Amino acid sequence: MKFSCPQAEFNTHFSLVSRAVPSRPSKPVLGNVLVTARTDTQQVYLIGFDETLGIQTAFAAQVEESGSLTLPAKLLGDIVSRLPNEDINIAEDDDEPVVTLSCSSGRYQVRGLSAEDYPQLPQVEASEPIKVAAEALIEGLRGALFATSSDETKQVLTGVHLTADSESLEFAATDGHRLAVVKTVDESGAPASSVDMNVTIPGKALRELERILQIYPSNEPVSFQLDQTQVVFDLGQQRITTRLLEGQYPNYRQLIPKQFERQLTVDRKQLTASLERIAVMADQRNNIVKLSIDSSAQSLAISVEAQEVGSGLENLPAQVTGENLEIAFNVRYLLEGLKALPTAEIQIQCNTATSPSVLTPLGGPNITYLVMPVQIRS
Amino acid sequence: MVSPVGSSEIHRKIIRKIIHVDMDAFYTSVEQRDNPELRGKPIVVGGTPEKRGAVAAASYEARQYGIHSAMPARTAVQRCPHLIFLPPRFEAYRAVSEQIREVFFDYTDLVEPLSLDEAYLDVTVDKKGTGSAMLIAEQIKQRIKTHLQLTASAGVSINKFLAKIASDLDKPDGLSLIAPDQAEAFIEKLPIESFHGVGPATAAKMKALGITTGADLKRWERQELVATFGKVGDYYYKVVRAQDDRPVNPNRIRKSIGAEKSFFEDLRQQEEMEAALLKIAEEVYQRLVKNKRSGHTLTLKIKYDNYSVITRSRTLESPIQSFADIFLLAQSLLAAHITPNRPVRLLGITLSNLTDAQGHQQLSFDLFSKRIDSLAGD
Repeated sequence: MKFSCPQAEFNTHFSLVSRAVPSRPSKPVLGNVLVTARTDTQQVYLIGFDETLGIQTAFAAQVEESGSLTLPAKLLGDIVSRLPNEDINIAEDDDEPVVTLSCSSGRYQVRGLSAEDYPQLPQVEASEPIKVAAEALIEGLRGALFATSSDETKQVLTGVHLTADSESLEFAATDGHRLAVVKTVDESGAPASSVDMNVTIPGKALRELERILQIYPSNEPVSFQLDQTQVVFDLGQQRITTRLLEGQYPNYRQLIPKQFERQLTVDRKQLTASLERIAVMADQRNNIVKLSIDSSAQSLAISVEAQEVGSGLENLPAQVTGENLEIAFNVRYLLEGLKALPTAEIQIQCNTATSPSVLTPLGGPNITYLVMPVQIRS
Repeated sequence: MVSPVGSSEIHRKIIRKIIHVDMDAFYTSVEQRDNPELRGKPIVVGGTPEKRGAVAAASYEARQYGIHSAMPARTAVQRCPHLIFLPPRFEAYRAVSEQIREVFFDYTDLVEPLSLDEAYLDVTVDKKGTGSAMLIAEQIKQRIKTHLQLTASAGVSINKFLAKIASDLDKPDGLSLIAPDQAEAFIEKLPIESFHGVGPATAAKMKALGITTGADLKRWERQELVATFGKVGDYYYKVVRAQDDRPVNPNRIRKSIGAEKSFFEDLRQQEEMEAALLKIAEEVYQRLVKNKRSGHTLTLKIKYDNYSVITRSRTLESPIQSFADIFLLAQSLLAAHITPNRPVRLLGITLSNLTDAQGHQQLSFDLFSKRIDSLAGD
């Protein structure tokens, strides 16, 4: 194997696949990145895999000799990221699994492991690919991914649940305290999916997908294929493979109340700014803030009582219908939700201080953010 | 090799004076004191054989029949057919315990109760300026005998570990001293099962490794002990060298909250066990709420029909505080660790790593309520 390419190109793609390389690999070869160079395509192919998530990428290079070898992800990545941005050369030794990395400033020899020991990425049984507009995918991930659980004992909640029919694609995520549901409709008129889909995809893989989508040409639809256990996202030069999460996803639709006794409309930026200031104080204790909805004053007051630290109060105008109510929340949950709602004005709907409230964007995409309050005990 | 610490280490610091006071057969002695007809007779406090209860405490007369606490009442009555069973009167024992503590407080405020009938006292500096720990221990014993008509055994030494061993040397009504210069020699001769913190299972494991006395234990290096016994190996390493810097902590707070239930008939079906866990989880939850605490570690205890016991725990970063948290964790531990087709006699759930629950509670969705409801309905 022998090739040369710009340092920046190698660095970008190598760090991309390194994100799937486990920090404590179950066998040494999984701590490496599989590097393959081909003269016929003049491309270099990289794979990182942690036995659940696999990331593949390809980029153009001047390939003199084809070949394949696995190289240590952390070590090589740390060196390459520090090299000056100019062409670098990578050449494999004839008799040993060692590459020589050279550039104008110096040369390094890095020992790898044979490509033969690297596991095959799981294959998805041949099925018709589902095509989704990249924008719809980005919108769905931005609106739902943050609400997944980080609690590994609640496996199925660490992922985003995707359901699709011929018209729309729905993303849902919940950690038990809040729920985010995004429904996207492909406006091009092309069916979002020709098959019904009902799967839970690990949040980790979707965070990588979201990262890659940021550099993806938005006019190209993303296609993905899935079977009972795996899903593969195909983004042209990049592919993400991941195992699906097992277990029944909770029937989240039944959690969303059908009717609300109270409703208010507020300016999103104003509310966010107030909450961010209040959060400085709330962070000192337990993140709890109290919302006082006042219909006669047509206002929303936000207050914080941080014992032994201090207190704070913010007041902002709101269009309120329904009776007055005091309700408390974890301020982090409110801020994270507001960040995902892209419109100028948002609507908050609630019933009581102990039942879920719903935040929705006013006149924007179809996003429902359901959040459970904090019960205040005196 | 053993590093030359040991006695020199002790002399480097101020030598503490620690007393361990242990009431003799406390519950039954209170019963015999309050009811002269019971004096001189084999009695036990605890559950009756008809209710599949267990012995909580046995009088010295009962102990002569080989009856001890935690023994099934059924076995106890087999050993002594005229054994008298008494229901526990915890309020009475608690009241007496309070009176005993009042005596302790005359000498020092550094009193750490371990239970109703046991406490550590640090009398390095005593309120009365007595100066001698032996004299204080003697006075305490005398006052308990005169005013409360009960006997106590006391141990005096330089740390908790040794004081506790000392109190056990001459029971009942004993008083023993382990002096600093005798401490290490004394521990070397000590049978391994007499070490506080070495239970029957650990003792058996140690014996299999050729450790039968303190001297044998002392030949092990710290790393070997930790590798073999886990974190507690560090404790063994220290106490066998007479080192125990644990302070007498007057504010010791409870370290765990739990509940367990033994069954009239052994449980065979996992569904029955889950239904039982549901009730136990409810009880643990109620106690948690009452104590305004939440836990980070949940331990499931399973006792099989042959009285072998396993415990399995899981520790979470987020506090375990809702009923659903407790039940679902216990249920998953049960599913993962139960030996199929083995009748189960007792189940228990304990929460440890306790923290103060906030007066406020983040509410959760009932994501799994259906599952819980269907179990409760069984």
